[in-house]
Amino acid sequence: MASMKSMADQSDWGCDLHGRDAARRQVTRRGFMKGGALALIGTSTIPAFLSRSVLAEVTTAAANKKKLVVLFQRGAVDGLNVVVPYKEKNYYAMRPSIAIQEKDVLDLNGFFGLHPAMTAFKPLYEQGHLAIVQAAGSPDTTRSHFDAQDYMESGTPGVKVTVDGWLNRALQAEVLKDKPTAFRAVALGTQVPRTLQGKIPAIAVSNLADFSVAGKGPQASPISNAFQAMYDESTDAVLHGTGQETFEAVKMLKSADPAKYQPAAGVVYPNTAFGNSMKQVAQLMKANLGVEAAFSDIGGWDTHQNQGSVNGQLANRLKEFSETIAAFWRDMGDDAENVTLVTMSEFGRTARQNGTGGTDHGHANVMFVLGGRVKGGKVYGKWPGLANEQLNEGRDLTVTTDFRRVLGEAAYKTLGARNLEMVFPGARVSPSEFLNLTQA
Amino acid sequence: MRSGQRAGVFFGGVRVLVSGVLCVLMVEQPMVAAAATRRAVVPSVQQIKSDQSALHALNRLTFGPRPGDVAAVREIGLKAWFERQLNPQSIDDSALEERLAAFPAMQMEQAELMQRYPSPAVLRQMIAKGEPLPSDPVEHAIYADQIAFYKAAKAKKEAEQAVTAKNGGEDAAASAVDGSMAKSAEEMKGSAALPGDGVDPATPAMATHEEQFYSGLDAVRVINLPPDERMQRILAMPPEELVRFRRSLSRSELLAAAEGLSPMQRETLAVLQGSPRMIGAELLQSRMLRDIYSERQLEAVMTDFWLNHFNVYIKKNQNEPFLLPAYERDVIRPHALGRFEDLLVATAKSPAMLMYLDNWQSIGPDSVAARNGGRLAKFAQNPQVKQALKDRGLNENYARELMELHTLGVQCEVSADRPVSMLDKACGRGYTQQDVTEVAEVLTGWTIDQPARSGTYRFEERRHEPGTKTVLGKKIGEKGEAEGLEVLHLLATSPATAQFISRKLVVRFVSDTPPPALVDRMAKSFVASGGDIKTVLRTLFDSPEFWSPEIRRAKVKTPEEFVVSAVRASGAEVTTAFPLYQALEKLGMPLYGMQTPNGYSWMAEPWVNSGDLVNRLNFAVSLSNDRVGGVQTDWARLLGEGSGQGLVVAGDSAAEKEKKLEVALLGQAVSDRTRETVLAQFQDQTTQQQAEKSFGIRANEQEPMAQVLNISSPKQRVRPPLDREAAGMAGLLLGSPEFQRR
Repeated sequence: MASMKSMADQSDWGCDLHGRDAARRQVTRRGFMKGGALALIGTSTIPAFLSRSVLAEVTTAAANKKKLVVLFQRGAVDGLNVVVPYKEKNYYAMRPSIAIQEKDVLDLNGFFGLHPAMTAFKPLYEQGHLAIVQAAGSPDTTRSHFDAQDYMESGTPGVKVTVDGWLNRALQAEVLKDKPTAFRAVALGTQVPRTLQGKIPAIAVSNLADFSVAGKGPQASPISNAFQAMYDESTDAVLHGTGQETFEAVKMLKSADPAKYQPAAGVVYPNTAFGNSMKQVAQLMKANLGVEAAFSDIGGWDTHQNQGSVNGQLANRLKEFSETIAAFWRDMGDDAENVTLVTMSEFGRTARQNGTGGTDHGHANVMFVLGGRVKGGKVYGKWPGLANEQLNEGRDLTVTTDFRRVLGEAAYKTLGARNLEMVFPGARVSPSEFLNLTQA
Repeated sequence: MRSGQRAGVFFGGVRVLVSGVLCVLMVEQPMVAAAATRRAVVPSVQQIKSDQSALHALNRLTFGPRPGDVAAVREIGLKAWFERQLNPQSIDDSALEERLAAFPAMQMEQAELMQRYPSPAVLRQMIAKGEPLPSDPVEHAIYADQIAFYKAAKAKKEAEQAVTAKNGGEDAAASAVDGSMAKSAEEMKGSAALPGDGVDPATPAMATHEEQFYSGLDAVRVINLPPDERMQRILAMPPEELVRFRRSLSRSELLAAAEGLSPMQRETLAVLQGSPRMIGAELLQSRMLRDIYSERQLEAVMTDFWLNHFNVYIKKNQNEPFLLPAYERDVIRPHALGRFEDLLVATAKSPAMLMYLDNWQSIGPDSVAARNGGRLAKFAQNPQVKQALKDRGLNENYARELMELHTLGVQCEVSADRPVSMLDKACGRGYTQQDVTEVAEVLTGWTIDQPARSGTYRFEERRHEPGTKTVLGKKIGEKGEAEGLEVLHLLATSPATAQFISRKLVVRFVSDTPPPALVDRMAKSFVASGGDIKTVLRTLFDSPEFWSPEIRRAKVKTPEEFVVSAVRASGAEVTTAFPLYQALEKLGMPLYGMQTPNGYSWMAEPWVNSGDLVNRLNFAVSLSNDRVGGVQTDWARLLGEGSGQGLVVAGDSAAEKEKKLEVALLGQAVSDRTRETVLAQFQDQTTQQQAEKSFGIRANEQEPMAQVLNISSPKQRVRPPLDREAAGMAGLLLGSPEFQRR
């Protein structure tokens, strides 16, 4: 990891802990204004209602719909250094060189403080849009990244045979008023994550500008049509289905042309894979493509070694993470009212730092919930403490809030998924269990 | 990788002019040695059957059939072919070796590589300590240039930071109110580049001036020198001049500067841009070329399998690229068809893995080194160093993944929710968090000697945790390095490992839903043969499950399998493999690009989705129309060979062409619908013209260095004319549902 500091030699190989996604998502920052009547509508100076009326045919399904954005921090972020319990004495004893000192935290409530790299989150918290749940996590105690992620994404901890993801089931549980679009569930990246897999079709796209077959004109190219015919008629059930979803999405994208929706005035996303993903989530939403659930992830949190303190690997990651989310929030403008954004990570890290200036796999972690209806400005959840007997297995923060209570509330209130037994089978998440993070 | 710069790969090729010069074809050598398809015999039912078996074997055990491969297998017999593949040394691979000769660094010993091409860490250290440069003139030039470039870049960065710090105060205050941190940072970045705004006025302005000065006649004069003289002239430049020279070169000038140089000279020129970049480019290209061109296909496939099983991420840090050539060449490939335990031990000792999963830094909490660290900490001045010395200790990253991913498998993990009673029988008592910690202790002292200099494995007694450990219920007596070997033996010979590895092999070679009986039989072979991978693969090859008709063409290709098989099927000539690597990157499966230690999935699921499909279709169309830079098809010749004439048959109807292409690319007929679609596309001239126009052309954004390395690739040849009709059909066929499966 960053034992060797990055050297300013323009090398592409030296980035430390840049998400695994960083290598996989190539996003152009090329402007792509096109000719034609719609070309002028692209800056935020044009009122939103105007562009909506121009695009009336694609807006009906999605108008005024609430949207849920789920972000996964893969690799297990060290929650204790994200929302720092700076009044907890044991914290400093357990983390002699990586702890964030009281003077450095961005105070939240006199007990917890944000990591100083997350200044972008502070105003969101103060304005009451951002809520925090500390010591949340999975009841399953595996320390395997991959099993833990799988359990969180399927929403069924300890059960490996679940075939679909919780967010897909949440969409299944939703009572539909309009015909859903191809973009109802969308993942930014090269793969549909486990979270979104299931009966409801989900689109994976890493770069909107490239989401077109054999040419980028406003009309589908003949070759694209030929492929479409080929996949339409294919007896290969899997590829037939994917083909249908793909060509429908390509078509929609061509008519809505989300490239027009450049970030609102003054909003600049970090020029990273995650930044570009969130910029595109905003574009898709602003283009009224009917997005109800969006997913993105950011890697690079597995800080076993030399994770740093106020500065360093984790700090860099947190800065990018918080600045991206804050940019997305501002970019959504009035629409932010309808958005709920939830962050999660497979587990936390050991309460004590390890022998190489990092932390190993732990248990409970922190979740952020951001949105127009979120009752923010508050740290939710019961703080379990860091004394030895309070720790999980004597080494990790104990889980006091099942992550499904947080996600369940978001699914229920944002997506209108009333059947929570379907979303989280066996979890017995009911509205009476909600933390009441958001308004109804 | 920087975004933007490389996004254009699919549409990046230079537009090819159709010159219609057929005679170019006459000078071409036959593409594949085994062009045994030139018989006009009506095949018997038996032959069709055996050809189908050969096709299946090629689809599963190689990176996909090339034209003529089925016939070649038929010639020597299926079983004999498989046995040959199991013994790669018996197969002549000199054609590939000839291609790989373009990459001398890939053949160097670890220490030699690191000596000749210094890592950024070494350069920083040399600067800090004022160490003398190497005396060898070539090495001297490499070091001097890289240091000069580093210093210039650093000065520039510091100047930028000075501005940032100065403006920071007000901006931070403003952004606290509206949360526009990102915006202000961006603005500051912009302002750093403006002249005369308080930055050290000398640095940037001067540099620009000098560059403009240099780019005139001097650079051209150097480029125009004969190769050896040119190289000498470049190496003789003082560092500052060399940096200026290098910066003044345009892309085409850079290529001209590399023209006519030997591979070693080209590599030297390329490395002036930074060692990790050059080494990374050679590493990725040589792996790509090997997958495409090696005659030892099963070895290539198994090397790929184990590189994924024992995944290492190239961007872990700037040192990792230096360790990967030896990892692939000395650790994985020699054992790819050998004994599992040898492979496991080799990976455990490999600097690449030691660095990737942090074990090289893990120190026994009660070891001599930890105690000394505590003592030294008292004297340390720098508080960070002080703390680092005090905190030296265990890191359990590798120990966990060793059991979870490399041997037993996560199904054997014991946790509060999964007691031993719930585990698979093969797991025995499974492994616990305590086992992870104890294995980490056992492996303390397994480290890297001078990671940036010699980069070789070393056992360091002083770091090793003293005392007896208990792993999986077995007492491991104190005996230094041998403890680790004992634990690796324990893990390698566990029935759980046999199951885990066998199951993964079945998923790779047979089916996403592995037949349990086959997994069990392979696991038995694994145990009985002492983990002999050849024996396990023989059990697989001889199984009825492997030959079951239901599994034929049932596996969805991963992006890597798709790209490599498309290039192989088309018989395309690859002069620069880097764009193909970029294609994989775009498809979400770059070589050495998986950050997490679980490696890529061999299942269909992650690779069947809309984004992936769009990229596959675009790749298919780009490849067949010669729009993937450095890769050149020759449909006319492919068709000619298929017809048994060796020449294009001018009168071939579209239907005949299409039929030949089906056989050449897929080895079998496609569905009627696919065929109809392909043909419909080419009956209408206007449609075809539109199709040609509709390819968005972007500027060629190929990695210039990759081109430098490949510039005089032995197979460079005159471009054949593009048969547009054939290319269009081939693109559709390579993008068809049928081609996505193997």
